[in-house]
Amino acid sequence: MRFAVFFWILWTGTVFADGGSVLFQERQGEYEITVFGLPSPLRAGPADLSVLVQEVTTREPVLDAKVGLSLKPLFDASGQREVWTPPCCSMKRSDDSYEATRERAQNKLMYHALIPIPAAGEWELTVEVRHRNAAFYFVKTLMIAAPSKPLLTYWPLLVLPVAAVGGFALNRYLRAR
Amino acid sequence: MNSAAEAAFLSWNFEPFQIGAILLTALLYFRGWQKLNRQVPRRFPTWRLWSFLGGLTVLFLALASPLDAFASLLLLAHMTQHLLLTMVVPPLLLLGAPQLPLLSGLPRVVAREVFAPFLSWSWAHRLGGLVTHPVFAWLAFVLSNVIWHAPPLYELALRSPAWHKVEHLCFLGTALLFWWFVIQPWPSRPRWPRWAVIPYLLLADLQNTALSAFLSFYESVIYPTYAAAPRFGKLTALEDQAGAGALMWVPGSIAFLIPASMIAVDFLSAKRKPFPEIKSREVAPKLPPQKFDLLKLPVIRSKNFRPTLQMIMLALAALVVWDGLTGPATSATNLAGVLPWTHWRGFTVVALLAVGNLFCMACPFVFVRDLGRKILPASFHWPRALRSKWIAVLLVVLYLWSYEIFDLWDKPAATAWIILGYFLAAFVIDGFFRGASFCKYVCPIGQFHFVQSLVSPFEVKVREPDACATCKTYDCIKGNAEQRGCELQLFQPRKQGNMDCTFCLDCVTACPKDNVGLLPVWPGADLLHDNFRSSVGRYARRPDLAALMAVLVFGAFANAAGMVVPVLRFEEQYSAQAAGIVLLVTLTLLPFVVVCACGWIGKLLGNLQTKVSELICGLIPALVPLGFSMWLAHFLFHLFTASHAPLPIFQRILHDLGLSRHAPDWVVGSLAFMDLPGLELLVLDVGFLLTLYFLWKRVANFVVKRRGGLFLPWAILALFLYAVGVWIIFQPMEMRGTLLH
Repeated sequence: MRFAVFFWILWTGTVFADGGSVLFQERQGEYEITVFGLPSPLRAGPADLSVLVQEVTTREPVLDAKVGLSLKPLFDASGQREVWTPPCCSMKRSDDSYEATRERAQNKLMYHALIPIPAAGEWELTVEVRHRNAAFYFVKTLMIAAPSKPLLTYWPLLVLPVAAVGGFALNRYLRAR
Repeated sequence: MNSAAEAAFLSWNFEPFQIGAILLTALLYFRGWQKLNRQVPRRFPTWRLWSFLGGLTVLFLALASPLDAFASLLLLAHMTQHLLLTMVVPPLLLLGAPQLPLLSGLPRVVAREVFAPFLSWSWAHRLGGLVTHPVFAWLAFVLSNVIWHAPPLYELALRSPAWHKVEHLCFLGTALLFWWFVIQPWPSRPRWPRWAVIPYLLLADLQNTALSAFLSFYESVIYPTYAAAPRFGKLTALEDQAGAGALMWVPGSIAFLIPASMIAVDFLSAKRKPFPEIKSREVAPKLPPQKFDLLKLPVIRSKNFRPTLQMIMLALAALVVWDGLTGPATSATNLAGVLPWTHWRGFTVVALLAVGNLFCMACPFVFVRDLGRKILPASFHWPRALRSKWIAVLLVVLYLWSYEIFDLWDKPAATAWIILGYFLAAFVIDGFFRGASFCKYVCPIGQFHFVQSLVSPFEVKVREPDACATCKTYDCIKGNAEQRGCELQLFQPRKQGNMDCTFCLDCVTACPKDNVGLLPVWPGADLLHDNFRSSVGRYARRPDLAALMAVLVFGAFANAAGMVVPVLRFEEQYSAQAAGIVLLVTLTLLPFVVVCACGWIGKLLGNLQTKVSELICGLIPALVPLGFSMWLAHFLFHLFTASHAPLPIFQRILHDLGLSRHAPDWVVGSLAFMDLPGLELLVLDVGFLLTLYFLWKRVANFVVKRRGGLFLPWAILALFLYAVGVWIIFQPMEMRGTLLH
């Protein structure tokens, strides 16, 4: 009995964490920009990129900037097979640039974009920030690891039928006793 | 959002699964508590309800509030989150004595059939006894606390959402075990004397003090993530760490010391009151269960409800036909390319899952059927030889085949002509033949709904069977002067399941005793047995129904596979004719051969005397949940990815008509979300498991003992279809109904 209650309550406590690791920080004039990435390390497939723009002197987050992100491969990606991405990431635009917005972010101090990275290798990330009269961009190289297989990503849902069948078999055995 | 503080305060994380889980737990507890509060009010007073719900609220705050959003930036926020999970949530939940309320809150059959065997299992008792033993619980709590604060593991949790989840589960799980001995939720019995709780808590506080002192006084930042994180205001990473240590130290210690001192005072007090014994007269009499009836909702009950739905659907159908014939040829810019193939189909399956056959209820063809009856004789009987589902089977195959081969979804004009043809067929058939011959024997859309609604949670059925026993008029089927009876010949007292029911509610209006309602049933309950059903008979004796179900099950997978990239490449590589032949084989010959093989092997393995045909017809209905889950997963994909597609089309129509100056904005968003494949997979999982369960139950109609022989080949077939479904979900898929094919 206490076992059932214990697991039931645990189930309600599952949570998807926010965050990711700091990929890099850059100081540009009066601004300090921090870029976060998830998964950590970044892999081919959907990547969660968040950008925090702060004023250097006060460390106040800037909330009314325009932030753009774009990715370019530093290798010949034409021969590579594109990795599978969930449909929300497959609905990409033609120019491969993405607007990061605070509306999409869980942490509303940051600008967020979900970007599909089609293949592993070296990629160039361009971060473009516009705020009031200031506009600047900087480029960083990212090493993107091989993708994790979708079946591995969703393994709990594939284990579920096995566990349920096991539970049913045990249930029948116990009832027969 | 003007200030940073305001923006931070709005940083909530609304995870649907998480919110759903918490709400479901609250609902179950409340349901169970209500029953127990009536029966043993002294054991389950109102404060227990508030305590449990308070615990769930704090759990929600810990996981969804800005604390979570800032957990990877500020150790203080992360520490607060962990303190709530370990020091506040578990005691509140356990004070609610949740065991009995949660169990009583479950539907009785689930509690009895699913959980009771496990709860009475001696191994589970022993394991439960072990993990709630004070020594085990204390060690688990302390070790979890210490180990997870080690920098490598803490960093791992900060980098990986999956490990962060494991960390939280460990904290919450071990805290529940730890607080179990302190709270001792009724009806559990203490393993040690009550005074032992005091050293138990003080020793835990000792460990807490040591760990928090380490965090507070360590001279460098322990966790690299916080050292690298951008700072807000003047708070340095080291100050953040010291603050987190202080938080763990002071409120953490208070959480241990308050119950320890309360127990000490209680123990030393001269007058300790025992818990009052429960007298038998306190136990309240059981109340009869209240049946929920959807028709009690005033809107649905209204006589205008169905005609209004039908008018809306008719207007939409007219708009689709008009735009299909006069609008642009690109499907994603034409209503005929988007509404019927993406939204209507998507909402249909969602309605089937949530309620039932609502789209037959709102069928726009009813108006032309009624018109046909008025203009044409409508006096002929439908030919006896055609009183089966074979025509419908043929039409379903034709529809699924032509949809893919002729790319009907990409041809708005063809779609419009099909809808017009449908109207004409409904007009002519019901204009010449009596009853609802079109619905019962011809309409392939209706047949789809009939079959899929077998797993719907509502059914038009009799409220009180005893009231029908004395009925002499049989208005529900014969009708009366004011209201016609069931045109599909479903006699309510003998009707079972949703097969052939259009949710027209004629029987509801006709019944003089107001004894027919829209009542909840267990989804798929009709698939558990093979009793005689009014106007349908036994499934095991209906090869036409079995063929219809088989085509719709295999068609679900074929239809979804038709839009994944590997299959499209196959079509490009070979000719359209070859693809057409393969699809036709998949819809007809393949199901026939496979189910025959399953029936024959099952008969051999089960050593049965029953006819193979009867085995096949009797077991195919069990595959319906799996087929439905594939339809649902597939249509949900299109519904979410093309959710906003009609908006610019309506803008275009208004612009074309001169009613708006704004040109359509074809760049629209969608409701597709990151975990959409996870949702599709979950849907498929549930369908697969229901199919296995129904197979197991239906096999019992043929063999009582040693069911494995007959069950095995069908279970392998279900597993194969499930594997195909998983493969389809993880393939790149055409975004039909959008400009992103």
